[in-house]
Amino acid sequence: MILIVLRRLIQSIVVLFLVALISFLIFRFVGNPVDNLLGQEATVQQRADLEAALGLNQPIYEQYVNFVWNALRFDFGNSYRGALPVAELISSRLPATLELAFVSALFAVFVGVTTGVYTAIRRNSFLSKLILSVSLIGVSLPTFLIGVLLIWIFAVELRWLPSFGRGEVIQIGWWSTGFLTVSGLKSLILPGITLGLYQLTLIMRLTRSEMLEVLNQDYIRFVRALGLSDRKVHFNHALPNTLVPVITIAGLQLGSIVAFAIITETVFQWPGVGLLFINSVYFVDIPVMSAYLLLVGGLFVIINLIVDLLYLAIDPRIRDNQLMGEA
Amino acid sequence: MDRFLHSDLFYDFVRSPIAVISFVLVSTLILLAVFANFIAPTNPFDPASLNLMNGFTAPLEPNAFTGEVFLMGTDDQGRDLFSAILFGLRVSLFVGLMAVALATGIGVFLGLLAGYIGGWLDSLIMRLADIQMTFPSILIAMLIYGVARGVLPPELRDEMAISVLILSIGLSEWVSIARTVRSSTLVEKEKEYVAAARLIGLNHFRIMLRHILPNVLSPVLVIATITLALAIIAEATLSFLGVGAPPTKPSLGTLIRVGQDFLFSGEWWILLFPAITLLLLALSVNLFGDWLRDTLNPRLK
Amino acid sequence: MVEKLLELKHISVTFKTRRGSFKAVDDLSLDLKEGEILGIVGESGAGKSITGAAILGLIPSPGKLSSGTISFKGQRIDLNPKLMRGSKISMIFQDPLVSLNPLRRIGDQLIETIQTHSPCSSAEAFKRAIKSLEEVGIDPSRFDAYPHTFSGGMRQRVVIALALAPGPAVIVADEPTTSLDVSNQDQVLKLLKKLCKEKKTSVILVTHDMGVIFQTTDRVAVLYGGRLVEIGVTREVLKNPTHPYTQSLVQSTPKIEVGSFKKPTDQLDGFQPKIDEQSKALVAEKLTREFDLSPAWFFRKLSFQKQKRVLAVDSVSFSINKGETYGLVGDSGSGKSTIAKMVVGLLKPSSGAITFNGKNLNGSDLSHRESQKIRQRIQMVFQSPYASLNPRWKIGDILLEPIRVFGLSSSIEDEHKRIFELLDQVGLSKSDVQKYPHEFSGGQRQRISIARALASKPDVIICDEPTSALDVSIQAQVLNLLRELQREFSLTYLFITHDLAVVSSMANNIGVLNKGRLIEEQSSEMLFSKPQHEHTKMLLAAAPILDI
Repeated sequence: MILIVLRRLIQSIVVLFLVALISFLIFRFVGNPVDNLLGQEATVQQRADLEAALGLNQPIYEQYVNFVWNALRFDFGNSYRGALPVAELISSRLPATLELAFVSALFAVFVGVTTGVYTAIRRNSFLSKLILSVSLIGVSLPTFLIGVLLIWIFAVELRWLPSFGRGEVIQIGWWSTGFLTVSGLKSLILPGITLGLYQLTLIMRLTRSEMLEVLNQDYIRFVRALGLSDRKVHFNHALPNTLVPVITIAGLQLGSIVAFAIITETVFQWPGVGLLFINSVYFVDIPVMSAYLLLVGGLFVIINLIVDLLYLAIDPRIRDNQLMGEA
Repeated sequence: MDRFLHSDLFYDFVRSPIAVISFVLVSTLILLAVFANFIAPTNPFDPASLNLMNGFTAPLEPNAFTGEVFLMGTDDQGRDLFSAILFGLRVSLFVGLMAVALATGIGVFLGLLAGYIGGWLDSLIMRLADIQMTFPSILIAMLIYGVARGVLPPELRDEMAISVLILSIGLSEWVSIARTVRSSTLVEKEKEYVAAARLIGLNHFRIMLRHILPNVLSPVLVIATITLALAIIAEATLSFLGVGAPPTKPSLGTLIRVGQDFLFSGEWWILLFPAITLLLLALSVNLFGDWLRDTLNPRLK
Repeated sequence: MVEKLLELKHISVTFKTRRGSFKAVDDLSLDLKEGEILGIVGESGAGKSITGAAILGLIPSPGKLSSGTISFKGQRIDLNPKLMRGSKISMIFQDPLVSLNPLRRIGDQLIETIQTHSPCSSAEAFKRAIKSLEEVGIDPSRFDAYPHTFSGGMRQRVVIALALAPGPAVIVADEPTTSLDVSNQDQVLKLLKKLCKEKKTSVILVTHDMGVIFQTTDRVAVLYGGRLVEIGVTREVLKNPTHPYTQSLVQSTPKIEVGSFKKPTDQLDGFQPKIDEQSKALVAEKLTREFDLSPAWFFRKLSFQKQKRVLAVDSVSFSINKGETYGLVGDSGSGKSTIAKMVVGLLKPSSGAITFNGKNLNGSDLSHRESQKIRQRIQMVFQSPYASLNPRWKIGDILLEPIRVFGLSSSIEDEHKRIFELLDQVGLSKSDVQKYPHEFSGGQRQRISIARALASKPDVIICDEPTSALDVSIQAQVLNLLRELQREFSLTYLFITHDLAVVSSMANNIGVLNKGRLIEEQSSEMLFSKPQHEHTKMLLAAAPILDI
């Protein structure tokens, strides 16, 4: 078991370095940092000075090491637009994204798993069929369209909820939260649903199909033959076996909420890191792009690792199989 | 062809209303896109044909100044929305189909190789796939797009936008296809007809191509259809965010972006019609893909 | 007076598919007496498993009990089957590897089952669970173990313990030993029989294996096409079957029959023909194969693990005379498939040599042309009729491939002639050329496999469990075909199987494998009449043979 944990850890670290490498390569080689910072009018001397200052003349691997070292100390250089330190830009906007992500994830998991289980157990009820049809539309609706339509209905026509921004926000130390004000909470509703809806449909369909497959297994038939009640069969035997793969896949999906936040933040003009990123792509603001990539990449790798280890903790079969290598 | 008409698949197809409806819908949309030139009443991208006075006309109402009537209204520039949608549909479908073709090509090739040859090649490809799977495909597409933009000189950016879109979406979607092909290949590889082929002395490439490939293609069909829906949505999303199809050659996503701006001022049609078209497209492809998957899956019967 | 414990009256089970309805069980009536073991036997598709499932109300959808009644002790149970489950009637399934919930410890599952039917304190339930485990021969210290830590045979014992724990009056056992190898099968059946007789539990034993029926059941019901064809006391039915289907079933079941075919080298009184090198078709010398399953070096060092090497085949030597059949017998894991793969060239031996007609097969100096020439001469027939033919190829193309690759014919007409010839030799028709494998039955597919093996006019054919996946009556036909072809073309066979009865009717000489070693090698007659090695004796004793 230690073997497997170690293996996964090492794999994760390798991937992290790879992500850092890609991030670095983008940072260094896409576009010309000197041109971007100085503009077209700079003299040769000014260029040379800047190049030396930025360390652009050092051998590549040295630059890479510097890059990683700086990254570990949260120093990502300055944005091309406005010359603010990237780290500051990101940290000021991070709480917005995280709160949004948290709300959406909660929404997606809770509703997703319950509806998934329900539609699996009561396959033929009218409600199940209704839910499934609606879910299909959910998968076909791009996130941004959901957001736009929600805005139209609830903000423009009904005027119940705000159509952009976070509302009133309270500062607690470094963190700014929208949970503590009415307008803050109101502002979270539409974006939260928008962001969570896609994940919700995925989780629901996943739970349903896994549960259906489990219910078809011989050991469920056997346990029924032993006379256990339906409730026991569904919740003591089928559900735990269903949740094992659901947790892992859902966990990975939830990681991607942070990336999908880009879209939702754009639609609702939500001041998070997603909006920051998309603007950086549009304006070719390389330092921000590469810093975002590094952070988000790191986040994903860590989430992947946690989910893998969780799987290990839950499924006894894998724990005992010491020779489990490449799956 | 004859074999197809008598196959189980066709049998199920004609008996399933969902399959038929979604198939008809997709085909109609494809036809509309292909023949856009002939169907569209105007060419919305020819600046000379535009009359600014036509701007903001509601659907089916004659314009206050020029008296022209437009099926779906006009946008701020006086462009006929119906025509714009037709051409936008064309862009969306083109990018979607090309991206899927790219993803399928790469996916089948790498999946076959990884599954059949195994060993270090398999590990390498799967590691690569794992790493890429760690990141949502939208993000990867955005990244590739961003890098391409950074590398291309500004003049070329708009022109190459479509190609870059295809490249970025295609490259972000190969993994699920490769995984499916690989696992099917692993299963087929162990089957005795492969051993029988080896017994005749056939070399590995011949076995891969002539024996294994035909047997791993059917799950690919399902995944490719679902990937098509994903690609269409991805393209629309990227265009909506402003990092996809440019306004000079808009796709449905670009049109929706424009439409959102005019929601508050009441010109709802600029948003609604492109949105409905996109929804119909994605929905019908998804429905068809879902039906295909359920039909081809023997276990859920 | 032995009352009717369970009574099935005119039951029919119908499946509604998109192609119409299909009757899996048709107007079936039978009854079960207290304390008896009733066998339900039939080939695949006969409806026996469905009958068993119907008793518990566990017919897989879209099937339904469309008519008839099922009564237990005089009361109808088919309307509300859930009341009976576990407490009165229990069921055991075929594959022990998927019968247990992988996430629950076996002790837990036992306690849960016990408490469902007779609520008691956890201490009491624990005691009863331990007792259940002991009864089936499992060490109580494994109470907290997970199912995957047990082997197949042990898992089936756990399944039996679970089924018996609530103290049912009837157990329906659906092919409970089919997935196990011979020695485990024997143990599990004996256990079942013993426990049921002790507790006076009646058993309905569903199986396709006549040998199992013979050794375990009191009465037997024969099913064919969903209908009851014959029922009676086991010994009577098997000795004097009245219905023609039963008769053919009993006849086709392989029994130990030795010397029932003529050997090509007939012996004239006292005259022993000289066996020289040339008349040995295939010789294996000290064949060894090792598999390296150690984890990668890096991780091994990190966790101080040893290298793990598995010796699948350990210094096996045998020889086959031209025109004869050599049988290789053994349980799963004995190494027989590995040997087959080495003989045919799919695996390289770790050491040792295989000689064919005097030529060493593994010489590294063989050119492609030479290898091809050898491949032409040695071919193989595989076990699974479903996996041995490419489902996307037409039969004609499948047969054409070896002909083309080996360059065996000069023109298209020649090719067609040859293909038709092959089909004819295995008893199929010309029109089959255009069809796909799925249009044929299992037995027919094996014939196609045989035709493909014959295509290159080989001298030696390796038969790797060619009939294990077939129904008994079909098996007899295919074995007959193999014997005929051997006579006609003077073929040499290496016949691999785990079934002793089958090998007795096919082989001149037999080698017994156990854990990679050849532990005994004798002519057929000698092996069955005077087995030498302990393991051979055990195999013979454990095999469920129809021994009337």
